[in-house]
Amino acid sequence: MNILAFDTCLDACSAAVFSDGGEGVRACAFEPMATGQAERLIPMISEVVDTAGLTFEDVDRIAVTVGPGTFTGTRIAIAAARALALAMNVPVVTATSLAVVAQQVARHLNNMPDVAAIAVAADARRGQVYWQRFSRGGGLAALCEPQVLTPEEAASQATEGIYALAGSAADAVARHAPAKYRVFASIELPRAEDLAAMAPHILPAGSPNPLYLRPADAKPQVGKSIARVTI
Amino acid sequence: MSPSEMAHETIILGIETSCDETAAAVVARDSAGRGRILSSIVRSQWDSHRPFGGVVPEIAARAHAECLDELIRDAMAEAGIGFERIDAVSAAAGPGLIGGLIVGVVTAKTIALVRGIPLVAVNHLEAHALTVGLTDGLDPPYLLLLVSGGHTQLLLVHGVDHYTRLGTTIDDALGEAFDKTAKLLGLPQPGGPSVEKAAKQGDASRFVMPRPMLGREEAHFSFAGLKTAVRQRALQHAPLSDNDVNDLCAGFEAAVLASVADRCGRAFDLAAEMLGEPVADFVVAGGVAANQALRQTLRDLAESRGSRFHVPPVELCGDNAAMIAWAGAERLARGLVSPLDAKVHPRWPLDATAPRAIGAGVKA
Repeated sequence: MNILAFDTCLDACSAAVFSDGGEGVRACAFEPMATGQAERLIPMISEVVDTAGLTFEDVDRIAVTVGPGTFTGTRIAIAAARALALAMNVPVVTATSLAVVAQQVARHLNNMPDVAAIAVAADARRGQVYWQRFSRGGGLAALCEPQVLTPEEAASQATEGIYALAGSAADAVARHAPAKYRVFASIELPRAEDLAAMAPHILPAGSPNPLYLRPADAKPQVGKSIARVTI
Repeated sequence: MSPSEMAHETIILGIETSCDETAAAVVARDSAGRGRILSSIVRSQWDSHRPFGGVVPEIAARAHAECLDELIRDAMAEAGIGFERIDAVSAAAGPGLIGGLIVGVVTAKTIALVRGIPLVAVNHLEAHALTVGLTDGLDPPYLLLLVSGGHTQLLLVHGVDHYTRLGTTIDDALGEAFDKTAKLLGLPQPGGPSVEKAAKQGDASRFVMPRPMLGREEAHFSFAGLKTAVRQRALQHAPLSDNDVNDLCAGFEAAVLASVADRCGRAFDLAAEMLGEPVADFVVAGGVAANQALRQTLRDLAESRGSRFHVPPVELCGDNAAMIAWAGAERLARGLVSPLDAKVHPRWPLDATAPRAIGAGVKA
């Protein structure tokens, strides 16, 4: 099975092609960027499919992150995944951006038997973080839903054992409970190659929907009309 | 149509997500440059925005992302066309709300890449401007009044990708003026239809409003002062009865029609100077072109100038994807295609050489 995976949720754009017949990651690209994913993603997908020596007809499955992340960034990858599914008639599997970061952390835990679980904290701005915890074994099972919390609220969630902690807001969380967390400072952003490696184990579940975790900024408008005669 | 004739047709998928309508359409263009609509689906998001009294950009972007792929599927099914028959995909890349534009353009880029077909990034205003080519088979040059919720412009259309802006609004767009008037008077949004309906039952002579910009040299518009005048007159008579509201709407609409007719008349003169001959064809497009009183006023103006009058059918006046597909087909026929790293342009004037009108904001 050939998998095309990509992510634009946070401050990066990445894409990868993975084959589960033992070849593993056949091509991947990762570029940090705060904006510009709407321009870069589609050419990048084209490049990784080319580099992998495949055509789009060879792709059997799409994998995409659904958020949390920036609203616009999250929609870019979702729009691309939905269009790919429509134009190629292939299934889409999804993971949270935080789970993909956790997958990256998991690759570095071999010599750390004291680490009981993995947590990821991505900067959500406005003094909050996007937060999710995962078990170390068992295919990185999520221990909670992705949430948006203050760093302090997030820090209080680790109850037993040492957590490996990554993501762009890892330090902001760890300083509230330094003894509980081992920070992987170099692991900040999701990478599509990790998502691609996860994808064979995820069940397709229809059209992917963005996971925003926050409502749209909008307030109902009142008091603009001039008084009308009441009966 | 015989298969050999069909073979000469180019089939374009169009995508529109620049404001609060999600739309997809399939349009065919034959080798003689004539078009026909195979399908055109528009899904209004208005119910999602209604509680907020106006379009909320983030709500719009979310709604586009949720349903665009379905709309494309439906439009293709209605056209009886599979992806193997699509020759190019076009999307509105601006002007408009950036979040929605990104959803539409990324979707179009993805389809273009996977199917190995050209992408045509289309200017939403150009799509409005070229619609009469699809509906009436009209070729440029022509004088165009483009009136919508976001834009109010007079353009001399020389041809695809070639426009001279003769006038623009220096403050509110005309559709916006209707919306704000409706809001002020407690009428439902969108304001165009509700103000028009109230105006029909009102007496335009009771509240005579100022006619903005009358006689000015440049063919610019201004509606902010008119809005203030409506507010002042309304406050004087508050609380307002239904009759008061109807009369205020009638007074407002009469002032709008007088101002628009005067500004368009000025544009006829400017266009004739540029063309070296009188304007033969006058076109009105955009959502406000659905207003019947405006249509009649402009039809009369065209007649008085010895010019033919054209207005697209109502369903093609508001935002739609058939016009995007058609503009895409017109550009494709001239080799004007876009790279897969094309940017969206929230602000994208049709005539980039036109100076900003004094006092004008981003809508100019």
